[in-house]
Amino acid sequence: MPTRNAGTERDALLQGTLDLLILRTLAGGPEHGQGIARAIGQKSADALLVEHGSLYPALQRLEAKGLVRAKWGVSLNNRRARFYELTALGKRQLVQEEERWWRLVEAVGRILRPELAGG
Amino acid sequence: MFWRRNRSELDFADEIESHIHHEADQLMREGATEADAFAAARRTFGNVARARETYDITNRFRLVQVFEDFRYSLRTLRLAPGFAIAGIASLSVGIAFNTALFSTLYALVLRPLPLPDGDQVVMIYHDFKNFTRQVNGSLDRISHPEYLNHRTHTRTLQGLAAYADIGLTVNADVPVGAAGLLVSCNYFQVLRVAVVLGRGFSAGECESDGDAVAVLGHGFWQRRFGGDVTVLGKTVTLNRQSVKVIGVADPSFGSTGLRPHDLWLPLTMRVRLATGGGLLQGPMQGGVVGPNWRAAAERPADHYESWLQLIGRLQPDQTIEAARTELNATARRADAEYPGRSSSVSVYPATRLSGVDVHEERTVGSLIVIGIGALIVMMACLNLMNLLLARAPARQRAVRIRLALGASRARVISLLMMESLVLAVFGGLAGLAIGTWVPRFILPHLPARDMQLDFSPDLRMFAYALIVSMLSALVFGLTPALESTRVDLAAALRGDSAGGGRRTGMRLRHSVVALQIAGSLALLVVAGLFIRAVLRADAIDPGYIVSGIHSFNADVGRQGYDNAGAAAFYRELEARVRALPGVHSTALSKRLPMRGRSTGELEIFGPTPDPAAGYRQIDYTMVGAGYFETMGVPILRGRGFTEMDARAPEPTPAVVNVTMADRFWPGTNAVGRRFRAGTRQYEVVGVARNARNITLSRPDPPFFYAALAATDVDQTLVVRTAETAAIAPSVTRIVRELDADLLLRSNSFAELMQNRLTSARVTGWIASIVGVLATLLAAMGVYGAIDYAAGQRKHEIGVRLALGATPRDVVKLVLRDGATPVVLGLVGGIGLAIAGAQFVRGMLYGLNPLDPVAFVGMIALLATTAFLAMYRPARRAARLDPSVTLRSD
Repeated sequence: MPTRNAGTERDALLQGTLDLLILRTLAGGPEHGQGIARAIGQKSADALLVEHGSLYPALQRLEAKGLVRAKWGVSLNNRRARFYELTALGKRQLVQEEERWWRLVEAVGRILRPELAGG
Repeated sequence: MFWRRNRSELDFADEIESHIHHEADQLMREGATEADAFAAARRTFGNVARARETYDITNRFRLVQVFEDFRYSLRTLRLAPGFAIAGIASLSVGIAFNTALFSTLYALVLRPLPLPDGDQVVMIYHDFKNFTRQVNGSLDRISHPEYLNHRTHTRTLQGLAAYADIGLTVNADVPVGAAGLLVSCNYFQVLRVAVVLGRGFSAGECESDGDAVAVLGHGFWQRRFGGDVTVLGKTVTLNRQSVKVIGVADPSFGSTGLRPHDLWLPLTMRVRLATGGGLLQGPMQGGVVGPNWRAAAERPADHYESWLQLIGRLQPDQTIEAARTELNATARRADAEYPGRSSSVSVYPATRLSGVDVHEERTVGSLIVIGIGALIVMMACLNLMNLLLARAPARQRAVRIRLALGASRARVISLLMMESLVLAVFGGLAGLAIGTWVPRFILPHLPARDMQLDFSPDLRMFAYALIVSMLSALVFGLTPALESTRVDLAAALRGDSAGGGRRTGMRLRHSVVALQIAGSLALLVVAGLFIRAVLRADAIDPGYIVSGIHSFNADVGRQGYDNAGAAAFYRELEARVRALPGVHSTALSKRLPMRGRSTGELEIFGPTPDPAAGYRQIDYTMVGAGYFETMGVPILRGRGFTEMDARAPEPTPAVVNVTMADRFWPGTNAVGRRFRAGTRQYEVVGVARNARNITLSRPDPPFFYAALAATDVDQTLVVRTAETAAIAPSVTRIVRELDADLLLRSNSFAELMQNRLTSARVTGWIASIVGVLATLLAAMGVYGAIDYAAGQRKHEIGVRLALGATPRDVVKLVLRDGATPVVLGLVGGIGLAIAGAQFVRGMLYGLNPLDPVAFVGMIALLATTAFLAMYRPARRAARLDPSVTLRSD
């Protein structure tokens, strides 16, 4: 029976990365909470675990900052769901956050593998 | 947290619910069973406790929570528009009906009169025991000395006025009738009615030698004098008396009763205006009442006769209670002057209806209307309850999630109740709008359109409609809310869609449907009985040959004729009418059948088998020679009246009806027997076939006709003629030749008979409309219940279809399921209908209250309607695609 916490290898997210992952996921179009969680899990090949208890607070946070907006709609399997989508501000923020992420990855990578940095 | 203001916890709970469903769907697609999928989805959701903490799903009531609940309910209702519209519509019908009833009742018996400080104005009624007197009008009236006694001694009232109706004829080229009111000279001061032109009465005008003066009603002034401002000091001739106009009353004041008055005159003008022995012509004919009439008749005339009604104005610091105590004390002190008398006084706030004699039939009629109104509200509420119950399964998931998240049951119930409250508010407002506007459009078309009733909405009506709708929402919303929250949490966590309470839910819905059917059947049967009764009443044999009878009545009593003059006038009139072409016969009569009667205490002289003969009251009327022939009532034994009988000495000749002869002299010849009725002795000269003299709805009890005395001033001429179209103009011409001042009333007897049926017709119509409404509501209820039941059994039906059941089998299955409450409701409804039929039996014109046509017909009608309502959901269930139903939840 496949359940989220069956695997032990999956990693908890770094503080602050959940917001980025949510924004990235929403760049593909409006999605509801469960869809976002699913998408993050699938795209990371089930490596990342989104704890739903933190997903919704994160969504609230983004909504409160005006990065996403939400409205009730009907999902593909004909259920009511609250769909989130990026606002213009959210799209700009995604670009900045992505750049920031790559700068971070690059910086951390240089420290961990200095031999790759120059090459 | 700062965003908590923006989103309600309920909205959040919805989102969590949605999430869990999506997760479970996904897991099921991946092959999990439904129960496992839900359990897993819930586990995955993870830290519910933290989410709850974060979003503060508490069980505390806060104002902001109420508001959130309200918004949430609005949204859920918007998402189920069919349900919302059905709920609001059925409530608004109930509320509208109730509001219309209430506004009518309010206008009649609750709303204070539109006078300055109208809530200070009170009506005062007397009730006497063991007091023999002459009564003109209703029994609660008092004599002039008694009025003065109250007026002298009262401290709780700042003013006390007395009044009595008087019929007037305005003498002119063409005489017309006018509604007059004799009043004490403080009448306008007590009511604080302004006299806009001229002045009101001065105290001197109520002295016995006061001037003949009148204050005109505004409408009468406009009609009669074209609003001429120089009218003051002019004279108007009333009942052949010249009366000086001294004022015109405020246009906003018509009267304290239902119909406006044309003129007001001082009380003391009564003797001058009602000359010739004819007294007042009030709405009810009075007579001598009480046991000891001989002693009473020896009192001075003004003490012996009760004719005044009282209206007073409380001191600002006094209560009705205080006035009642004081007036009772005064009346009891006065009892000493009338040996044996005991009086009691009641005081009521003055409203439109408090001045009017309320007859028994009208009371029963309004009770029926109120009963019907209560029933229709019940039906509407049952329907709402049905709809709410129908939503229970749809809401159960949402309820379970909330309960699982830790919301208390009370908290969830309060949310669900908010939904019914929202419905109640909208239904109540819609109902109020319909209920206040519709009477305005209907009233101008009713015969009572000239009544001064104020239907304008006011705060009390608004409050009433709101309270009724809120209460019904709370009472009828609570059961479904309790039902929805009676959830087995363990089952809910297993994801078992059946949950708890499904069986009880079904039972509840079935009882609601049964109740609706029962109520509808009762209403339909009563409506059916009325319709049948009216149809039948058209065919009732009243005992007369109705067609061809015309009646004529001249106001000789008002025009100064004395008894001899009046008798001479009628004799002359009769002789000239009899000579007209086409006239078959004529007769004089005290009055027309079913237009009042005289009553006296009966004493049979000689042997009679009836033990109660000496104690009962008996009804009678007075008729002249030729009456039985003219009315078409055959004399079975003895003879009818002749010209000689009019002057016969006591014992007065009498003709008794068959019922009276059989009751008191069975098996023997009644002719020649003697009896006493009231103050006179009679001798039977004939027995007439039974005819209806008292009411059209029942055969007469023992009844007799006395020979009309030649000296009676108040008479009616009845004529049987072949020339029905020519008779009225011919008689009018003869009367004008005899005395051009006389006002002649002419009627065809057939028309009068039709008018007697009006109230039954109106009640029948109302009952029919309500019956149809109730049937529609019941049909909606049945439809909803069956649809719900079929939905609950989708799985089972799917299995049956997959296993080879035909659609026909499915239709039968669903119908059988739905038939149970319908049949139960019909059985209960028959009981209810029998009770209702007993209640209205007096208005059915002798129709058997258990009339099989009405009962069987209405049962068939309702059963057919219920079947049709069941058929569509049943067909839909039969068309289910097993492959879909078996897969879906």
